[in-house]
Order: sequence, then C-alpha cells, then structure tokens
Amino acid sequence: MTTPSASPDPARIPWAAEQTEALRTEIHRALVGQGPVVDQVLAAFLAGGHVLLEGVPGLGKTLLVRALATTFRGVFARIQFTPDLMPSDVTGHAMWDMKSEQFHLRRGPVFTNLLLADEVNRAPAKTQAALLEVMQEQQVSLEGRTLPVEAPFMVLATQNPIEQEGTYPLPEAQLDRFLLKVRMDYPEAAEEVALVRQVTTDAVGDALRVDGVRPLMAAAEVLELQRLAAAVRVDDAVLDYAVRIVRATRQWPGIALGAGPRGAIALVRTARAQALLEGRDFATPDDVKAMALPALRHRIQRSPETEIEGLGSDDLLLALLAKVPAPRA
Amino acid sequence: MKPGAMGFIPRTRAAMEAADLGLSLLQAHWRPVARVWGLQLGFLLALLLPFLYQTPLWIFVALWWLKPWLDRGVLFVLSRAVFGQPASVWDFLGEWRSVHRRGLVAGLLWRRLSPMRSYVLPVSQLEGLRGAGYRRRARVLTRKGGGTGFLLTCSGWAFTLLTAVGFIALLQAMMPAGSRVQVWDGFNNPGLGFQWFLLGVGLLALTLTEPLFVAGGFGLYLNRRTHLEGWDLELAFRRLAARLAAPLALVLLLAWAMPLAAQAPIPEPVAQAPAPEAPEDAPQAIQQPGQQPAPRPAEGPLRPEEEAHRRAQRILEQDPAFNHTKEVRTLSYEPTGREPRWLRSLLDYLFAKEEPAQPAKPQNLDFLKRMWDLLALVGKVVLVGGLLAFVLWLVYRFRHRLGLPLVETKAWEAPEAVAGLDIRLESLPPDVPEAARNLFLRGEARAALALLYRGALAELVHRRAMEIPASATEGDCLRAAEGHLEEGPASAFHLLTATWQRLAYKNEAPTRDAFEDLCDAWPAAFGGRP
Repeated sequence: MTTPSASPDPARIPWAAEQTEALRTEIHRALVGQGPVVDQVLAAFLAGGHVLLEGVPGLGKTLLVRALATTFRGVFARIQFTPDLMPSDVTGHAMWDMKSEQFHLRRGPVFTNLLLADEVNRAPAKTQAALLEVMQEQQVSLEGRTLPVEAPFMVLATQNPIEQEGTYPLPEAQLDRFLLKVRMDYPEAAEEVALVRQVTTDAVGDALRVDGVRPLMAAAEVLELQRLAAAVRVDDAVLDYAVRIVRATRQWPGIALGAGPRGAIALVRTARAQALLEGRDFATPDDVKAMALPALRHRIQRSPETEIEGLGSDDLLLALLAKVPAPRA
Repeated sequence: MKPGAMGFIPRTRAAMEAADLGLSLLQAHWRPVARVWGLQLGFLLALLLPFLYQTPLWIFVALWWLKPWLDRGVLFVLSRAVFGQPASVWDFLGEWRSVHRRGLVAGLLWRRLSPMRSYVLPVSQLEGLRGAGYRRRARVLTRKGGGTGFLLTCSGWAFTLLTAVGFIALLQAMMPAGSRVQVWDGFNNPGLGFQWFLLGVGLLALTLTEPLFVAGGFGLYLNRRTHLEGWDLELAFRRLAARLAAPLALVLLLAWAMPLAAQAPIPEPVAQAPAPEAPEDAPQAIQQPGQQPAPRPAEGPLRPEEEAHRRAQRILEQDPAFNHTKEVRTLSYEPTGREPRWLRSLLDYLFAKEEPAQPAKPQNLDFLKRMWDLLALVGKVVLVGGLLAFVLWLVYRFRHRLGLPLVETKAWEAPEAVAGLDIRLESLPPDVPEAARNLFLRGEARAALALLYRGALAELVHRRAMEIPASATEGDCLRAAEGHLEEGPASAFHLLTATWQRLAYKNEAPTRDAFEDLCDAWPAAFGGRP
C-alpha cells in the first residue's frame, strides 16, 4: 500500500543522488564540519521549504547560505533585521522618478533565490509578517501588482538564542511556517582546528570565502531535484508513523501544545527529501525519525514544569521518539 | 437598671462577635474615650519628659510599659457607656482614685505581660477583686473566650506594629525621589531627631490601636457575663413584665423560677465571686467606681450557696429516692502476727482491702517517661527521615539541572516485537532459511523476507544481548548491530536490512538469486541456533 504519487523516474535517482552528494561536498569546501546541519538545510532545500537556523553568532550561518547559493548559480541576498526595518525594506517599494515622471517599482531583497534573514527576531512583528507572507505565498504584492518570486526560493532565517533583550520573538503561528528549525552548535575540536586553518590560510581581512565552491547546476536542475524529492515514494506505514509521532506530541506529558497537521506534513516532506539525499526513491521510517527533531522542535510548546526542570524540546521529542513504536511493515 | 437604658443588647454572642461588640461600643463613644486618653497621655508625657527628654526612645518604652494604666481610662468610659451614663473628663477626674486603686500595681508588674490582659482587666478594675478571688474569677471568665482574648492581645501587638511601620513607610513613600532625607536611613544611625520621630510614630500607633484592644476585651467580658448570669433572660423577663404589667406575669415568672431553682446544680465558682448575684442588679454588679455594692436580695433565680446546699440536704433527707440505707457485709482479714509468713501473704492476697487506687507514681511516671522517650524518638525519626526524603526528592526533581545521570535505568527487557515483527525465539521455525525459502517458492516473498529479517533480529536480541527497543526502526537496528557484529555478519545484516526495506517500503521484491544469497549467508551470520 502506498500513497498515490507520480513515481520518480528511476533512472534519475542515481543522478539525483550524485548531485546531492556533490552539493554536500561543495558546501563542505567552504563550511567545515556541521554535517547534520548541512544535511538538514539541503533536505529543506530539496523539499522547497524554509529554514530557521538557531545558533550563536560566528558559526558560519552566512557562509553556509552563500555556499549553497554558489552551488547552483543562484542569487543570494541578505537582510540584517533591525528594530527599525520596515516591510518595504524587505519586499520593495514604488519610487517616483522625477525624470520620467513615473512611479518605478524598486524590488526588495526578497526577489532572490536564497535569502538570509539575519536575526529575524530583531525586527518588529509587521516586518516579520511581510517576510513570512512571501515565504508562504512565494509572491509579493507591490502597488497592486502581484510579483512572483523566482523559484527556487528559500529563506534561511537566523535567530540568536542568547540575546533576549530588545527582540520580538516569532509567534508560534509564524514559527510554524518554517519547514525546519535547525540548531547549529559549536563544531567539534578537530573540525574547529580544520576550520581555523582553512579560514586563516592566505586570507586577508574577514571576508567570507566561497571562492572554493564551484557552481554545479542551474536553477532548473534544482527544480528538477525538488520535483524528484516530491515524488519519492512514501509507504502508508511510513506515513502512519509520521502522523503517529505528531499526534503523540499532543498528549505527551511535558508538552503544553503539540504540533498541528502542518507538523506531519513537514515531517513527510522532509522525510522524502532525506530519502533522496540518501539516494533512495522511497522513504523509510528512518528518514522520518531523522527529521522529527528539526521538523517538530519549533512546533511544540513546553509546559511550565518542563521548563522549570530544564528539559528542552529536543529532550522531550527524543523521549517521545523512543516510545512511539516503529511502523508495522 | 432599666432594660432600655443599657448601651448594648445583652444576648449570648460568639466570642468574635463579642469582641466586635466592644469595638462598636468604642465607635459609639470614641469622643469621651479620646478625651480621657489624651488627658492621661498628656499627664504621662508631662511626667516623663523632664527626666527622659534626651532619650525619647526610653519615653516610648516607659509609655509602653504603662499601657495598663492608660487602659483604665478607656475602660472607665466604656463601662459607664454600657449603662448609658456619660463619662466626661471631669467624671474621670472625679473617680480618679477609684479607677486606679484596685489592681494597678499588679497590672503594671506581674500581670503586665498577661496574654489576656484586656479580657480580665474589668475583673480587677470594675469588680475590685484581688488575690485568690481575682484568680478564681479570671479562671471562670477565661474558660470560654480565652482563646479569643489571647488572639486579641496578639492582634493588638501586630496591629500596633503594622500601624507604626505603615506610617513610616507612608512617609518614606511621600519623600520626593532623590530627596536628601530618607526615612529608612534613620534606622542605620538613629540620631535624636529620628528618635523623636519614632516616639511620635509609636504614640500615634498606640493611640490608634490600644483603645480597640481594651474595647475588644471588654466586649468579651460583657458577653461572658451574659453567658454566666443570664442577662439576656433577665432582660427578656423584664420586658415581658413591663409589657404585661399584670400579676399574671409575676405568677409566670415564679412558676418558671421555682423549678429552675430546685433543679439548679451547684453553681460554678462564679458564685463564689462577690460579683453579681441578684438578678435585680446583675448587670450593675460591675461596681461603678464610687458606688456602694447593691444589697443582696433574699430570694432570686440565682441562690446563695448555703441556700442551695440546704435545699439539697432537705431533698436528700425527705425524698424516698435518696433516703434509704443498705447493709453490705464483706470478709476481711486482720493479721494477728502469729501466722506463718506464707499464710499471711496468701491471706493478704485473698482478703486484702481494696486499696484506694494508688497512683503508683514511680511506675506510672516511668511508663510515661518511656512513652515520652518513644514519642520523641518517633518524632526524631519522622523529622530526620522527612528531611532526608525531602532532600532526595529535591535532588531527583532537579536532577537535570544538577546534571546527574539519574535517568530511569530499568533493567533491559527484550521486546516481543520490533517494527511490528515478532522476534520471540519460540515464534521462529527451527530452520529459518529453509522455511523462508519455502515461503519464497510459494510466492510469499514478503513473508519470506520478513521471516529472515525477524529471525536475524531475534538472534541479535536473544543471543547477542543487543538492546533493541520496540521503537527502533531498521536504521536503529543497524546502528545497534554495528557494535555487536563482526565484519562479515555486519555486512550480511546490512544487505538483509536494505533488501527488507525495499520490499517493505517500496514493495520491490528481491530476485530469486538475491534471495538465495541472503538465505545462504544467514546461517553463517546469525545461525547460532542449537
């Protein structure tokens, strides 16, 4: 029993596996270590979703996004979110041209392929909402005109977990729009040594170096990869497993508010992409399990007792995954 | 006394309500109380200031100690108010001597810290009792409402303190921000000015709270006497008599009073107190300062002790129910001194007089002491155990904060099923590859591969003690097996898992050759069955 879906062309699967492996390698030319983070970002990229990156400053978030943009000859833009950032600074605005005596549309930085929204929780809710609308609709309304954003379009928003002063935390409903929330942690000791060596060798200043990254594919090929990922076969048992995990979050002790159906949707979408990253044309429960943490950690709300006990959402989800029986094949 | 002339309605009240009655009295007569209080306070200050003007705090201490003296003025006014008599400052001055004559020394010395001071103050001031009489009377009064009296004293303390602190806090709050003068700073270095300020605050607090305290106690006192002496009944009958104004009322009163008097039990010690005894004058038994005690009437519902005793005697003599004798014979033994010792012991044992139950003090005390020791030990164990349990609970509760590895380490129990596959050894056929081959040949590829896979899992779990929980996916099993298997079996398990996944989640059955390869590799990799 499987969900009806246009099965991907089996001949294209090895190509896709090759491409994703090459993407991974190219990104690691610029970004040392952070293997799981790169995999999860790539999974979101293939699933056509957006990523919320959480991590302290200086872990290479911008570098990751620039490297990813370079691999597919995509356009990269970055917005540093500040408290005085206006929605028009994100989406664009109309400007009166004195010479031609006409309004000209000036497109904002969202008209790109990869958008890095740095410290997204520093901007007020109105500006956040403007960005989140683009994320959802893949289009911008400017001066009465609807302008689609060019595909592939992906937002990587970062937020800093340590500074809470002067921030506007994203509401739960808006967090839900991000396909994955990826935690970026400090690198391992060996990785950090390699990183420092690579970044400081023959480097002047602190400019980010992505010149080692080669462009691998065109945007059209990325879309082909995304289509392949969407067509990955998901057995009913796997689908049922994902739904059971999401439903378990709603009754799990220590979780005040569980994930909604969008959580299960995100879980299955990323499981498909994960399967493609592994070079398979079918998803397994392992793919679902591997993606459960990044897909659900921002969709659950801990209860006050759990917060007092110092248990994080990851601890809760890991405990939950250890209790949800694997699917009956 | 006229029923309508009383300043309150005498009825039996609950203790708290009685204290409230006192406060209502004060509310109604606060002006004369304030005047008398002011006069007394002024007098005391005039007396103390010349000696203690350099140490104002000592003035406050002295005033605080002399509170019982100040209370007497308040009580004087309130006691007059109860009977509807006004009490001006001049009245107070006129009665000065009688107000302060009785029990003032005791009140300022050994009764100063009495926990029910305001409740029993009327006993010495109004009833004029002292010594043993005072103690007996106070005991009778405080048998009921004593707790409320004590509570009143405690709340008086708390209220005074709160008023003073509240006033200081109010002043501090009123200070403009950044002001050089900060009230709290005075406590760090209390100069003379600050001491005067504190004296003022203290006097204010005392003035606001002390009359309330006295009035509450007086309310309790009035209520207790209403209870003891039936003032409410008295008043009811008076009203009845006044209303009917006919001999019938008198007849009724007598008809009620006679049997009641006949059945009256021996009165409480209250009857010994020289306080009210005649109903006619019961409420007035609070001797008004300067008044002579009212003459005691010959008859009344509350009889004198001798009268009651005489009646009881008469009944005992005349009533056939009491007046009879009964002869009782018993055997007893008186030692002669000539019998042998054993006989004497025996006879003593058999005929010994019933000793009045000796309290066998030493044994009983020993027993009590042992009981007490035991109780103390139990208490100690409970206390220490409770403390230990609490500490352990705290450690357990915050184990994540403390980073303790106190995770639930239940003994590992092999699950019966992994990923929906039965992995009990007894569920497997003796020859797994052979059985799987048969199934495959019958066209049941899924069942055949499932048998191979769960056979491998069962072997790993039961023979190689691999820990695989029911929530483990195929990938989890692979990772868990990595540490338990050598290279050959590991790659065989890897291949088996991949083939199984393709079949399970892609519905792609292996070719016959591939399946044969799996079956061939199975015994070497997992075939540890006897």
